[in-house]
Amino acid sequence: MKILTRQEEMFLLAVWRLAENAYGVTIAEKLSETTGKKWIVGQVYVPLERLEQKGYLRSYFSEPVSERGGRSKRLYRITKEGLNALIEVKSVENSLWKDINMISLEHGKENS
Amino acid sequence: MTFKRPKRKYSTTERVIKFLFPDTMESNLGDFIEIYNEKLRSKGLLSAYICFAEFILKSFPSVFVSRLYRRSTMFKNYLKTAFRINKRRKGFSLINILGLSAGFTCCIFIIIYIQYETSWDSFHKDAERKYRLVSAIKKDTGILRFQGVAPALKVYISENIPQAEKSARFWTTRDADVKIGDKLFREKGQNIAYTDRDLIDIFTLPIIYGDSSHVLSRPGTAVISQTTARKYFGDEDPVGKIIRIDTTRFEVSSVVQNPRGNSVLKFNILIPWESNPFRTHLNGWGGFVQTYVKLGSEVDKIHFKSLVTKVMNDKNESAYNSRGEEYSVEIQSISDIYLHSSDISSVNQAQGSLTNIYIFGWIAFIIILIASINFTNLSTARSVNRACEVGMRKVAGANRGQLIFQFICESILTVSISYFIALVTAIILFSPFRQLTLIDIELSGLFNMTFISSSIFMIFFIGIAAGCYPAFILSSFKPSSVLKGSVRTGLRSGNIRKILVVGQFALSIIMLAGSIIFSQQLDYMKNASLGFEKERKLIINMEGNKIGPKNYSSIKEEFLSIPAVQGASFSSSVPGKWLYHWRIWPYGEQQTNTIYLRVMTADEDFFSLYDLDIIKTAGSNADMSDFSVMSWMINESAVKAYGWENPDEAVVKTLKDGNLKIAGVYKDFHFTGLQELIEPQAIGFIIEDFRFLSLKVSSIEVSNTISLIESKYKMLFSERVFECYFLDEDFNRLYLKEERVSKIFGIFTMMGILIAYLGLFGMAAYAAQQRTKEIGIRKVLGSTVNGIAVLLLKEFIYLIIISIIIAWPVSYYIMNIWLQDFAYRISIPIWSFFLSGMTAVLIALLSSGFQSFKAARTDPVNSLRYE
Repeated sequence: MKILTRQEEMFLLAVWRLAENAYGVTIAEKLSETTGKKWIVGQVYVPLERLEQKGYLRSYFSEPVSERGGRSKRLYRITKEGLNALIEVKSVENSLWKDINMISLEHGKENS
Repeated sequence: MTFKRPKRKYSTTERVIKFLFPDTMESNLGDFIEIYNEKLRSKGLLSAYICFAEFILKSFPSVFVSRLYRRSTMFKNYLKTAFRINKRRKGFSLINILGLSAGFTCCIFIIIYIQYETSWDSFHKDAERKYRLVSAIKKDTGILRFQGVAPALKVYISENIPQAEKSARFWTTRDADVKIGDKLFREKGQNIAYTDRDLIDIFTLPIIYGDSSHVLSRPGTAVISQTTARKYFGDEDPVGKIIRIDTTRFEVSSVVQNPRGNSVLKFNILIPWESNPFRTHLNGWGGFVQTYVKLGSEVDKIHFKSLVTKVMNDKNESAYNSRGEEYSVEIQSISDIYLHSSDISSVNQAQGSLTNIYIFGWIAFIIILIASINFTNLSTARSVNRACEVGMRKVAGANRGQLIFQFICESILTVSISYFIALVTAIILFSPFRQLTLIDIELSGLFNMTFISSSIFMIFFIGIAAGCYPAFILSSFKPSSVLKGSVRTGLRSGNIRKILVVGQFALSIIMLAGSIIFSQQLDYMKNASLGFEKERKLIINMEGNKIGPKNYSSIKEEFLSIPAVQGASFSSSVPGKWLYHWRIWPYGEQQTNTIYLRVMTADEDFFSLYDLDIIKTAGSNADMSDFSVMSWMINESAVKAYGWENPDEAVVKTLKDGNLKIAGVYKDFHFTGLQELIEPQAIGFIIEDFRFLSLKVSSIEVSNTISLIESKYKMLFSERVFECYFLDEDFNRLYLKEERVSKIFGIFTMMGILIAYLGLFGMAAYAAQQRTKEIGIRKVLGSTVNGIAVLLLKEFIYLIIISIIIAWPVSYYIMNIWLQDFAYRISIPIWSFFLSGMTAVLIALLSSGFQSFKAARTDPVNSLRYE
């Protein structure tokens, strides 16, 4: 299996955190919150779609909501493959960062 | 509680979002409305709008990329299919690509030609501020224009009119011998020019060697072009060398780059105006000397024009107004000189023809049209073979738009392949093309931005235009009927295809008739009786030799002593060369009856040597012997122009101050080519300005005679270059341009016809193939081979006949307009239409006949067994 890209990782984690309430607006908000960069809802649809195609996410429609002009939400939920992929990327990350602490990185920054 | 949305049309917002996210529009719109309402509540309407704009704009990149990605996978499939189809049906693809690339090759050449013809003198720096001054003289009969103005105007402009940054005269002289050391060269008069120093700047001529700051400012110096420097001095350094033009010494001060091929300025040697031996004649406020100016960047050219017109009229007060003429100076942009000077009387001026540009533009258009029709027809015809593919694609979920996109992509692909082949062909054929058209550019100069962008435009335009009809036909198949096998597409599009074929053939027949008629006109011009005898006339150039009343007859005697020389006459000009343009009026009638007369001088033998018909002489004696000096002969046109009833009335008149007697009237003859009308003309018996010696030679042992004449010349004029030519050969030079156009036209016509018949060939092959079964059954039932071939041919022949009927009146109309350009023209020969029609039918029979016979001869056993 391919290792997830950073963007995929971000999206999957956002969906996981949002649990039952993961749809366009909340995902964009969560991403803005966690990454510190502003995400617009329009930007998230295509990556979400692609994740769904890869089988990491699954989507379903909610009941129509009145404050949305009578439209339903497209809710996302992480699949088992998605969770496996997250676990794998985390373990790769751990081994990448093994024995490296922030202090030595900061130190290196000053020297270079 | 559920919210019920009323049924209504989509709003703009909805439509935008639907466009961006066609599959998930509903939920996305929901998301958007949620944010919008939130913003509206917390921050107001404006920020809600901004939020909307941000939403749309920021979603573009990701949406676009994902779409492109999805398309590209399909696109790869389209490409693969296109290649497979082309590979499977090699014959059709070959005809398609061959026809298109032949068409493109013609088109590329014509684009190069037109680009070149319109590029003359537009490459100069600040070309839009550089002008030529033209004199316009308005009379009741019309406006006469002359290239140039009085030479004193230039001096006035540079001293008093600061609006003109630069100004320069350019005055060419007569033929001269140029001597360098002991080498002798003959230079044509038009290549030696007296000029002002600003010329270098106005025509942006780079100086290669020598003095660049004081060019043309020191009298006694000369500037020569690069080629001339090589010719005179080989590899030596030319700067500081002495050249002797006739008898005057000049020191070469610098060498300039050759004037470019597409510049009207042509010269070999430039000499400062101050060294002009004719300067004293030329410094007044009369006459016409080519003058160029460069205006300042902010100058209003209309203002400048009226300013110099006023100066000219002030200085020249009585000259024009008293005769009821109105003089004005017109300014002509330097880049217009080449193409827009047909109404300006000029000498030795390279001149283009707008008509030719239009003609070639149309030819290019027609050829491309014919080639595209081929493409459209063949693609539609073979659509039946792809019906199954379309059916399958539709079943698998393709919509009509996708299919159209696919087929248009295919056609663009074919067009680009053809274009590439055409480009390679054009590069290979470039040097013969250059020889044919005398275009002076390098291949590398061709690939400029205009050319590349017009190529790309052409590929897409033609790809889409030719591909859209087959694409619509193909994409319209219903999968249910296609897959059941009951589709009859060949017939459905038949009518439009027939119309296209008729159009194609009408166009090629028009081109054929046009080129036949044009070559007839050319033949007529070359062989028409000119009114004088042009055969066996050897002309010797005498410019620069001193010939006057004392020696001219003895020189003639010397030449006449050669047995093969049967006659000799001196004159200032000979047919095909230039004549003076003089304003002359009958004695006492200056105010009312001034006309512009073409004038030359000649000795008394001129008329008999050229077999000119004399209608009327003043004396009883017709043999010229008693003509006194200063008596003039005028032609019939001049009699008419002066408004005299008949020649009898003319011979009692005198001209100008009463000292020019009219000695007789001669019949009009063509002094110039038949493109131009015969102008009022006069020949004066004045022993002066003799530049040519015409010899009538016997037609046997010509080369021997010429060498005898040459040695005689060397004896009489030692140290002069001998130069001679035959009049009839030289006269045909006047038709070179027409000849070239006719040749190019002929070649392109051939190409057009070839392409059209290539298409017919393909169509015939296709029709025969479609009817294999029918032919088999007919044969089984007892049809003969001939009967079947005729059956197949009939269809095409009647299309051709329709197109002939359409083409004839159209080509008659077009050729009538075209022939108006020629002063003397043929009446359109009816047989040219028959010839063009018959040729069309004949070639059609050949191309489709081959296919039909092949189909008719197939064994029915094979054709019927194929199911």
